[in-house]
Amino acid sequence: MKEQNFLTERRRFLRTLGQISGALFLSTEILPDKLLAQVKESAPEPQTFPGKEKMIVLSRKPIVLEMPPEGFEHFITPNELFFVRNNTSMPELSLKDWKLTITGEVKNPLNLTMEDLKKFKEVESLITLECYGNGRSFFEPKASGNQWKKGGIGTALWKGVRLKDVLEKARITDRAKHVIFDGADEPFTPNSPDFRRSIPIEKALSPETLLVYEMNGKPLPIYHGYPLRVLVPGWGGAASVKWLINITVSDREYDGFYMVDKYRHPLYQTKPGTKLSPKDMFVLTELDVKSIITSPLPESRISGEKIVIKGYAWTGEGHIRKVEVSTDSGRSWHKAKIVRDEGKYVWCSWMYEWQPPQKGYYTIISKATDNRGRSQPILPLWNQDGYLYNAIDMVGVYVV
Amino acid sequence: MMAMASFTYLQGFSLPEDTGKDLILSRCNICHGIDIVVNQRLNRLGWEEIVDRMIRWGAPITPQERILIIEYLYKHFGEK
Repeated sequence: MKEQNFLTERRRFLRTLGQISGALFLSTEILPDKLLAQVKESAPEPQTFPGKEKMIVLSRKPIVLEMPPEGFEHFITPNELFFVRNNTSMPELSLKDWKLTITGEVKNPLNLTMEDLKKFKEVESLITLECYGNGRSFFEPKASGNQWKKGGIGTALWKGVRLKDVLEKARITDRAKHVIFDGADEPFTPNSPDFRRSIPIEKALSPETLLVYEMNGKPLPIYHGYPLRVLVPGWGGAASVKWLINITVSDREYDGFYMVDKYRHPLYQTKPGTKLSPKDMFVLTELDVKSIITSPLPESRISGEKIVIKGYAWTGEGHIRKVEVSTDSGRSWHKAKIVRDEGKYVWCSWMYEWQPPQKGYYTIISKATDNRGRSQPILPLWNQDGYLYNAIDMVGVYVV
Repeated sequence: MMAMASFTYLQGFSLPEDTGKDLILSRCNICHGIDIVVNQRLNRLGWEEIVDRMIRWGAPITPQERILIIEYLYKHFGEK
């Protein structure tokens, strides 16, 4: 109940703020001090992130945390090191008040408690989740948004139920085309858009698309959507809506801000720096093929007869077929050994043992190819919001 | 207490003193921290596009304020 009261209070405050700021929109005056104080009080920027102390802070409001390079030592990313990308405030929900409703194009609307949900067949899956913006900082010219390096990705063991089973119980109609997910999170102002996104019905009915309540054997941490989130494997993290409270089956793609203004990709390649309007862009779906080098670290000084080059590779809807490595700036290529392959929707780890011919500065490159023959591009595929960065990875090292 | 904590954080970040700084603290900071602002370097068109998008998303910014904000962002956080 406490949480409910908090939310009601917050809504009331935001409505008031909306009326005031709506009026201000027409004037050129600075916000009055009193209102400014209220604004600051309404959504403070957290100073610490309990349970996430080792993360790289990209943004405090909303909370955006990148996994530090040492996180790549784990094939299964510990919850403490798993990246966070929030778009809104983080709701603190209590199980006793929480319910999941399934509405819209369904013959049998559902209103489920966690207990009800757990009566569906339980499934457990290793799934890699990557932010659509991972790697954005490598684009030139710079793309706007959180400046992720390589750590907007992680792999966890998720436990939950199949979305398909729940939708089957709700009996979707013939008109069902898209499934819209809404979380309990709220935007920072009443004029701002709510975080709601939809996926096509085919993906929603895929047996691998889950509603999850556990992450690596623990209840889903608040950062990751407690008590329930969607898990749309092979797609960017934004598709996997957190703090889930409603699923609406719809006869069309959702047209909210996070579909129309954000998480969109050009329909055709443009010259870097060129902006497109939403009509020349489409809603992002699956991830692209990608590999990264996680060891050695960039600009490190290394020595020894044999140097082990390590990394990960993954793709969207498919499997990794091969990873190639070059240690001479791309003059010659060698097949890397796939060390651990857990199948579709999970990154695979790879390694290549290298004997440097002599001391000097070397540029190590990795390139992955998937089972559909898609390879990583040599040059980044620039787009204005910096999504789906997947150019070949390059790491310069000094052999001493 | 919370407001104080927020204030301390903002001071620690130190946006350069210039026309437009107060607008950024009062308008942009309603919805997001200024870390995402200071961590980016965009050209003028890039900042214009971002500010216009924020206005579409409900940021309470008047046309005159828009000009001052873009000017400030490009001057101090422009891709040079």
